[in-house]
Amino acid sequence: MNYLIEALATLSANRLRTALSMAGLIVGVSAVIAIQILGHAMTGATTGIFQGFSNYTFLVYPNSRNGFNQQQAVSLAEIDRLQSISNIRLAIPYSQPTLLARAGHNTAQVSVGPTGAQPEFFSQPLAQGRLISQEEVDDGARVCVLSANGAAQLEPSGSILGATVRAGSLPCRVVGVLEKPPTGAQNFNFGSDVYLPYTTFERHFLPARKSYQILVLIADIGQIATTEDAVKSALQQLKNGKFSYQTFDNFFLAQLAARIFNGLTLVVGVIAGISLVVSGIGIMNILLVSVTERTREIGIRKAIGARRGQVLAQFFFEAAILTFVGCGLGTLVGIAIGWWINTQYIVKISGVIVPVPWLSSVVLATLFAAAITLAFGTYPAYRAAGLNPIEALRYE
Amino acid sequence: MNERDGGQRAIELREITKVYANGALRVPALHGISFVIERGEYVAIMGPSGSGKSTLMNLIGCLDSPTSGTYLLDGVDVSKLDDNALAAVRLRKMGFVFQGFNLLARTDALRNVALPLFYAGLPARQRLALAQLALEQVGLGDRSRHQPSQLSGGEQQRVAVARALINDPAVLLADEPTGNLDSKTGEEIMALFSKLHESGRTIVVVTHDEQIALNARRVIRLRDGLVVSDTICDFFALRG
Repeated sequence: MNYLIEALATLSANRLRTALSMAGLIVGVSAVIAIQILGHAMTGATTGIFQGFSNYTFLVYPNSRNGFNQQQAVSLAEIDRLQSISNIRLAIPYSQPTLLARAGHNTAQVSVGPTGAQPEFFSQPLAQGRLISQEEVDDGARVCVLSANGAAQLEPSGSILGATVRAGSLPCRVVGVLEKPPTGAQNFNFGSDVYLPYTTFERHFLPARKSYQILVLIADIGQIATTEDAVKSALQQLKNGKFSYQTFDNFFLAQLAARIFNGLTLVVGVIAGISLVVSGIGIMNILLVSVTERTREIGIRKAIGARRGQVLAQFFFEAAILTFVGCGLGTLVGIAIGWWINTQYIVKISGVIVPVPWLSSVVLATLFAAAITLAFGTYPAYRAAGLNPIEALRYE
Repeated sequence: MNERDGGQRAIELREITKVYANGALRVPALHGISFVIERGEYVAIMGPSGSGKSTLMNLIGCLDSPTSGTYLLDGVDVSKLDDNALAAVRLRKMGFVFQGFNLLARTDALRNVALPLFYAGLPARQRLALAQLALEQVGLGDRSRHQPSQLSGGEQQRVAVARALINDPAVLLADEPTGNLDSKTGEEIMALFSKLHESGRTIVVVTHDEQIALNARRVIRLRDGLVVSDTICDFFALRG
């Protein structure tokens, strides 16, 4: 307790030195924390922007670099036959035309896609109404399910349930609306705005009864790769080996996202590491600049009867107070900056406030800064406390 | 020499030698110093540079240990003590006054004076109360909240004297106490020393200044690590 008071007295007596080391700590710690929070928020935002594609579906399309060849298209009958492959529940033709749609007096550009009665076709649960029933699929009924985005565009003011939407020339009744995706980056949404029963979709948008792309609904996600391979080879056989096909699913997306994520994580880590080192050197610098003065001070203290341990304890307490206050304030400032930029700016990219592992950033930055401060705050005392007091007094 | 009992002796040196070992090089600084300083004496230790004067001061001040010989401070053998024990001796028995004042910068006079009491483990209130008394004794009672930079050289040295005396040491040891002061202020400090001497303090001043030495009642002169003269200055003889 006595040491604490004495340390506080010394700190307040040397206001400039205290303020400078405190500033170094605060800037260093807050910068590292803010950078880490922002980095993680950014990577989180990046992984969050791929969505709208159900885990239970995959897309099959010709392996072609220069657009699709007519002969690569698969007939609806052939698509039906794919359902004999194990693990496939349903295979439907797929495309996603963008059309001008109208609901009442509102018009909007929407993407239209096919779906079945199975809820696994959707990546989002229902918000209102119901999904398309099997009867409606069988009948090719003119009903549709809207995505949250589609509903918002066609009827910004309120509920669109039960209303009729005219997608291109096709009028259909809205039976359900999906929930908003957890991340709102609509630019990268692979889902459609208007989901029609695939039978209805075939009739209106695939008059040639052929499709380049096939959407496959599977039963067991664990076997998705096997099923994809089976579909690919079945189609290649169907085309007598002339064309090959490739598949696209959420796992592919996840891999893509992971690659971006890893790159970003590396960059963020390097930047945070550099700022950690820079702040460490800053703190070190301020603490070591006062070595001459402090060595004389230690000489005085020892001459009047301070033991080595007492001098060390006092310097340690000073450094500990600096560390505690500096790291505390730095942490608060860092979290505040990170939180502010996260909520103000990054939210506009990803659509949500990404949860960030701020705790680990705080721990890392604080531990590092604390170690530096304690080490270099006590170092002059450690060196000078061993000197003969007279030598310490003459130290230049 | 007189045969008064050891309890009366503030300092007793017996055949003190000091050899500085710098690697293989051995530099002898003191070749066997013996003298006794009684309580209440006012002694000046003089000598040209290189005479071993500073070495002797370090030994008397318990800042260093002799290579051989015995040093009794206030009746206690301090010649074989380790660093921490020496620190404790400095704290209880020794008051230092330096040429360069050596006050803590940006720390007011009161706290500077109270500093030894901190290491002695006194509670803060008591420390500051005692420090205030000590400052009043050196005539700086109204300056207790001034920082060293706001005090004149003479005032700073008086603060240093107050700090040296706060633990009621057996010996007040001064190293060129007026070296950084103009002659008038220097005289004031020496007057303060004389006053302290009259009140019974044991004072040892290490100096090369004959004028300063004149204030002392006894002068021990060193040359080449040996005592060459030890004179009691008879006040009347001096004037006569």
